Amino acid sequence: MNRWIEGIMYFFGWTIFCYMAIVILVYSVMLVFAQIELRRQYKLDKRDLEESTIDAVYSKPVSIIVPVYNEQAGVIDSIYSLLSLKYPQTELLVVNDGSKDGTLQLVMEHFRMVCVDKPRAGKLETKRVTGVYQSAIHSHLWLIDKENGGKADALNAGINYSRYPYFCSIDGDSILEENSLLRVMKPIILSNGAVAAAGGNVRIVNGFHVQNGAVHQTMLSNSALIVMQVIEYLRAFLMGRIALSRWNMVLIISGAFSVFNKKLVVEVGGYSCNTIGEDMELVVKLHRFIKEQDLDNRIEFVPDPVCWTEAPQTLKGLRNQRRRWHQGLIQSLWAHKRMTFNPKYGAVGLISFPYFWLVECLGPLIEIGGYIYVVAAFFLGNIYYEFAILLMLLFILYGTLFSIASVLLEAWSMNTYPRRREVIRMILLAMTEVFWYKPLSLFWRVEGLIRFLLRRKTWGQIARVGFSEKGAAE
Amino acid sequence: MITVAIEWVALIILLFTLLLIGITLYLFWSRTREKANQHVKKAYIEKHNRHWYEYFRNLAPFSEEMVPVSPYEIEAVEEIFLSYLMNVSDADIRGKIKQFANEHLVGHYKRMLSSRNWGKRMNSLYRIADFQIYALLDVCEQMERAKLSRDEYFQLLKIKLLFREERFIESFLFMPVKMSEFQYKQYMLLLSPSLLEQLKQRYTELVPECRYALIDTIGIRKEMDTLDFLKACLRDEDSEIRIRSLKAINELNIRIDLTEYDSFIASPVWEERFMMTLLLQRLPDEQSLPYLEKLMNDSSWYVREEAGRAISERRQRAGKRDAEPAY
Amino acid sequence: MNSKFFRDIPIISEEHILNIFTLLKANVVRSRKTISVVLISVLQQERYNPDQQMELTQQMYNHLKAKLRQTDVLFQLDRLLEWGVILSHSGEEEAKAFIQRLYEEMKRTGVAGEFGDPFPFVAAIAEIGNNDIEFDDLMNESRQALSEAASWPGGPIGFVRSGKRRKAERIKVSILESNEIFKDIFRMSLQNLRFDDIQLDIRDFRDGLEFLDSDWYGSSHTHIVITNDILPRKNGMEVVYALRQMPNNGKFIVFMMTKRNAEEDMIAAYESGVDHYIVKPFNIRLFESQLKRVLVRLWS
Repeated sequence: MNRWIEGIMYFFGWTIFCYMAIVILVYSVMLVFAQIELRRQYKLDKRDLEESTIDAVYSKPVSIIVPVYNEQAGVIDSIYSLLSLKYPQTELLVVNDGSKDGTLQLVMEHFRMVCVDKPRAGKLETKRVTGVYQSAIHSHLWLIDKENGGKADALNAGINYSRYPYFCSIDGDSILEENSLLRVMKPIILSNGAVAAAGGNVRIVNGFHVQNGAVHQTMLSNSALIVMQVIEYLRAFLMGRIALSRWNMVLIISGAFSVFNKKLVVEVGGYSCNTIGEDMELVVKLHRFIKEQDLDNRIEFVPDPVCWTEAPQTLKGLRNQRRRWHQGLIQSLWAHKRMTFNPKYGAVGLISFPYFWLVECLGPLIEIGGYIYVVAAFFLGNIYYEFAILLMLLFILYGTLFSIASVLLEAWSMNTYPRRREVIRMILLAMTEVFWYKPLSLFWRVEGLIRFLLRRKTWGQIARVGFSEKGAAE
Repeated sequence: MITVAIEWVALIILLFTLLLIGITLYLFWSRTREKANQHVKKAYIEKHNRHWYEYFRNLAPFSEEMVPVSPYEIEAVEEIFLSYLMNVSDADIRGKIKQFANEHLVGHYKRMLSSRNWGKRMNSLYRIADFQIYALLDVCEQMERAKLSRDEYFQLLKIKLLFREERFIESFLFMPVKMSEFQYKQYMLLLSPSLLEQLKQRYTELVPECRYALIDTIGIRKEMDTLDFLKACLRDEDSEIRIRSLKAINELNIRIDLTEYDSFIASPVWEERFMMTLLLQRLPDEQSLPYLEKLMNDSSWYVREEAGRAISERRQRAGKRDAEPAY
Repeated sequence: MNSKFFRDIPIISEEHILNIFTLLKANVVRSRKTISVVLISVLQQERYNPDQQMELTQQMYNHLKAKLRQTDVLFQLDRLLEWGVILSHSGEEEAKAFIQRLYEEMKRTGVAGEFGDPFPFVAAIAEIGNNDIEFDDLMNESRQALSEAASWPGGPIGFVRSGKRRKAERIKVSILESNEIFKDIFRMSLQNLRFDDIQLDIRDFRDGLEFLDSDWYGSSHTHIVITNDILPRKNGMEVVYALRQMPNNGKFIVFMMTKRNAEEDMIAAYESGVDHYIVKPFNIRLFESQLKRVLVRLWS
């Protein structure tokens, strides 16, 4: 019996140790890389580029697609804030996904929408479109009214009616800055269109003073849960996105605000309506298509903060969100599992996919195993103490110290000069992360994994859940 | 063995912690410094914004007090100047900014140009173009010899175009880096007519992106005497060149001789057929309608859509014409 | 302007004219349209016998009725051979032209001939630009002006200037601009503008919401709003929309500054209620002239 336990503990211990060592190494490399990249443009004044890009003749026109569902409270504000984006040539397509409240009437009256006979350009399959309207005030503002079919379906309908070669998808509740679109389009414009999709750095807006579509005053939230999420976003930003983007290995660009090359998106069949994480699914499909057709397109992440989003404020909301995210992630990985270790797909297949499988998908399981190991070790007696201590130290290094490092390095490299009190608060909170936030989020992600395993045959029904992340969280 | 591993990990944690403490202290210190500097900047703006206004509007003479002394005061002056340049077009004010920058800011920007930080060098190059600091042109030209990033080179060449036009073409043709079409276009729109002509003559030496930009620019600038040049481009092997040339010809807003173009109506490239539906609309109905009707059954949605729109527009116009005698 | 097509213009008696005058006078300041009170009298009245006086009175009424608009007021005074007219929406110049036309008309129709040549009437014109002057004072001063005009070779028109002076009007100006430096530049530019009868009350706001949350735009003053199209929180178009939704929104004159120079954007802006569209960068002197013109045009 003891020999069995010893064997199991030995095996698990070393598995967890190896995993942690690999992950810590990978994170360190990515962190160093992100630092070099960000410090290079430290202090760069971005105004000049923005000033010159504004001229219509230089830029590529963009269709902005905003799916709305029961958003009568905020829809007018959203539209106004999108109308004032600093960008020379845009059209704004508001897609009403069968709202049951007064969203449609409100937009119709407010912008004096006139029914027009605009033929559909694209051929993507969507639910029936019941009307296309154009504003009598802003000729580039359109409203597409359709039967309810979910966010992906609404976006596809928008793509069908869009006129320009690039489109930008925006969540109804995300908050943009006036030059967000310019910044996100910059890699596309500067690369002669080689960049097929670009997503911006999404930041958490809770606690910041927000009013009418603009981040007004930056102040750290009072809620520990929100601050933990802020730290988590910073980590993902520094230890992931930047490095992955450099080598064209990004698998996730946020659906809250990103720009796509319409032609390629249509070629891959648009957004998938039967997945939970339609934004990741689209990016993976694009990667796959690019490699299969031997194109030299890239997918990029823009480190500038361009989009602010509301994070869930309650544990329940957060749990929902994380479960969904994880389930969506695994769904996409599973659907494209053939790309894993497939040299045909280059770095995405050889590095991104294995990385996502190991760290993002299975990571939570192994880490939870680590927690259990530590607890078990203390019950089982002194021969395991040392190993438990080793694992704990690794947890601290991996969880706490990397989180603190993200907070500090972000401030350093982006020149944000945070307030002392806020830095100290974030550091203190990061120290507690290992004890509550980390195990919780691991647990939720494992839940997502289990849900994926159990419900994989009923995707269609799951896809109908909440429209915006916020809706799901409340 | 585990004990050794623990020792190592503990050591790493210790070093890492020390490093983080170091960074924290550095951040605290730099925030204090930054706050003080911002204060200097703000104080300068509060004190002198009015003086600058009065000087620019000829309400008061220039006073030596307005000359910034520290880098942060220079930043303040930058802010003030940029606010004017972005919002106000008075030639007098722009001239005064240029004069001041050439007299008082040369040293500052020269230092920044030799900085090891890429961001600082870029900022300096931006400001040299914004404030028209021709006094630094020679320094900029020396920079060209060093190994540069694409963005730096772009800005350097732009500065050359602004201040020393005659040397632009050579540097442009033999630039060591490849620019994006967007960047080429920015040059093209700044070119004087004579430079544009020179570039057209050396068209064969240009890279494809640059050719695209040139043809687009001709269309945007509506250079009427370039029709022959564009027609020559129509015979290019690169379909992108042909499409853009058709587009530029369309923007010239002239009536075309259809015999020279009819091969494009049956072109295998849909973009060319699409451009033809646009060009056909410049012709009288009896000439264009047969072709437009043919294009109504095109395989491309965009071509069908445009042809359909053109035909219904024509019918409407014809309907109105027929109805007129009734009045 | 044939009187046949209009309802007959009533002749108001002296006891009623006071109320009408008070009403019109109060409206002057509010509508920023001056009125002119014209007093017409015949010189050397003793030359005419009572029948001729009656005839003359009748003739004068007929001519006046033919010349006056529905918006003008004709009134009768207790003195004989004296007629009063209030010309709405008219200043001194318009009133002068009116008298000259009347004179020409009388000469042409020969009325003058019947009673001796030239038909000897004089007129006193009082332009009203504020609401301080009292009717009786005005009449006294007008009669004074009449007698001076009668003895003055430059006649037959005299002017009363005491009611003309306009009161300095307070006009609100709001600058909505997020760039602090440029906001100050704007403020200084506006502060340096000088007007005789207008007092600018300038305030600046960093964004649309700060402006809309203030109680600054609620008052009835004429209000010039100079706004950037792109602003944090509520942007320029949202502000324009909110202002144009208000009752009495005619008091707002909106200048919108923008970097967008596409025709479509301009059309959309004007359609949504912008009065002046200014593309940046703009010439600051040109802007000042535009603004001056707008302010001068307020009074007509």
